[in-house]
Amino acid sequence: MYDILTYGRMIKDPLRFPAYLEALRRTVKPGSVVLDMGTGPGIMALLACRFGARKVYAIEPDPIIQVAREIAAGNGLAGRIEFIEGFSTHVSLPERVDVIVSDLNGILPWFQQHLRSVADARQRFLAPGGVMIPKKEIVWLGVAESQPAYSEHTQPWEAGHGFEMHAARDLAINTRQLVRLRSEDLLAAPQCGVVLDFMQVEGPDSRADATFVITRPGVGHGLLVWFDCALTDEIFFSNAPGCYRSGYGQTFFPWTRPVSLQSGDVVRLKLRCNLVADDYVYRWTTEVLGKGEKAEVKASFDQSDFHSSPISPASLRKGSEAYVPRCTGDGSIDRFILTSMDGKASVGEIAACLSERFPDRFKERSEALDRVARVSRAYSE
Amino acid sequence: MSKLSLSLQVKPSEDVVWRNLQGESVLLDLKSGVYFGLDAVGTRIWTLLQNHSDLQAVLQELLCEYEVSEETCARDLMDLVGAMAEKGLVQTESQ
Repeated sequence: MYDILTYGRMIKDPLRFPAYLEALRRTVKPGSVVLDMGTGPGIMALLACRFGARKVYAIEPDPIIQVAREIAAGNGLAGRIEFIEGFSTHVSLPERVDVIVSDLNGILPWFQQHLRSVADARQRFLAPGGVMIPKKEIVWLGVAESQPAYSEHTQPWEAGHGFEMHAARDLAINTRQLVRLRSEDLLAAPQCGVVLDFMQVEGPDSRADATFVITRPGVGHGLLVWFDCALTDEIFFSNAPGCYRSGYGQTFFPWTRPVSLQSGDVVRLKLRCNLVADDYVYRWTTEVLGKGEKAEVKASFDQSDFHSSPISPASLRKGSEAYVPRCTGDGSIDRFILTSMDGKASVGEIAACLSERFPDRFKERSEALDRVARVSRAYSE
Repeated sequence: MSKLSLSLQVKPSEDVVWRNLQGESVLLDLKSGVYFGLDAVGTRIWTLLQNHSDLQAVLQELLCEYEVSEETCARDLMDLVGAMAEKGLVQTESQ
């Protein structure tokens, strides 16, 4: 999922990593049993051992787990850390644990299977009285003025070299991006959108509503979202505007067009985050009302990153409920391989059969071997 | 869900996002994660429902745009709205 340099940056993060270290130091007791979800190169598991854990279960679906195993062995901790390759939702543990530590956020808590995994782990693995690290995450919303951030979405398609390029702009304006803004870029006091309590969170979906009264006149370019992570009651870190030391930034959700805002104007924002398949679809709606009794509607936008990727009608249609799919030639090849994976035939034997069955597609043995190996890596055990 | 009739108020669900692609469209129900496809006429009806919650008004618009008898148009409209209501894509209310 990440490359080794990214894992290195996470460990070097001057806000997040020291906070996790301190949270583990205060939480893990001699004899504790700890679950490290998404262990990566295993640093949290190692720290848990240092602070006295009797046993650590370290789960990771990425091949980086091999590196974590080597590091644990190199530090004499192979016997105390049990590495489990896979997704935590597919794993069973032989005992309940006293501490569950995870760092599965993207730039927002709504990232892939993060919240679903946390809820599942708490329900199936956490012992009574056990502790979740993080304890909760507080998501904040703000109204942002940032011409530079906004220009990233619009300027390339509005200049256009004399061409009308709205089709591209329409995608870009529904695309969120990582930014690092300052607190001065906010046009109103931030509002708490939602609190994700890891001791209670159940489902992966969230909604956050907020109403802002503009305090600094300016041009509104979009919604800014960030979060405070409470690892324990005392240990926090944040990716709020101005927290330049964090590797995290904020997420900028652009508006369809910039809106001139006066002091006293009211901005109503709604953010919906829904896990669809393995990733989130965000929808952000905005209503801007002028100040005063008339409360004229200055702007109203309904946007979603469902509109952000170039996609063909045929491709989308193929995912619709009523579509009747028919297997393509490539699909038939993979089906043949999957059917041949019966626990008896080797990759080489399946590749030989594949070449025989589809001679026009696999003229070289290496091509058939590559194809079978790819399917084997994905679906065999 | 109210019993279907042209006197119903019909509103697209807040949980649905949709995308128009060259005259056809795909709806995504964010709650269920299920995609639904609409042909050109279905897309037109969905677009009209964004602005008119009154089914009778939608029917009159369609009659102006398509060469079709009122009876056939009303039946097709009700069939589509019924199917969408069943899947939670629209909410219906009696006036």
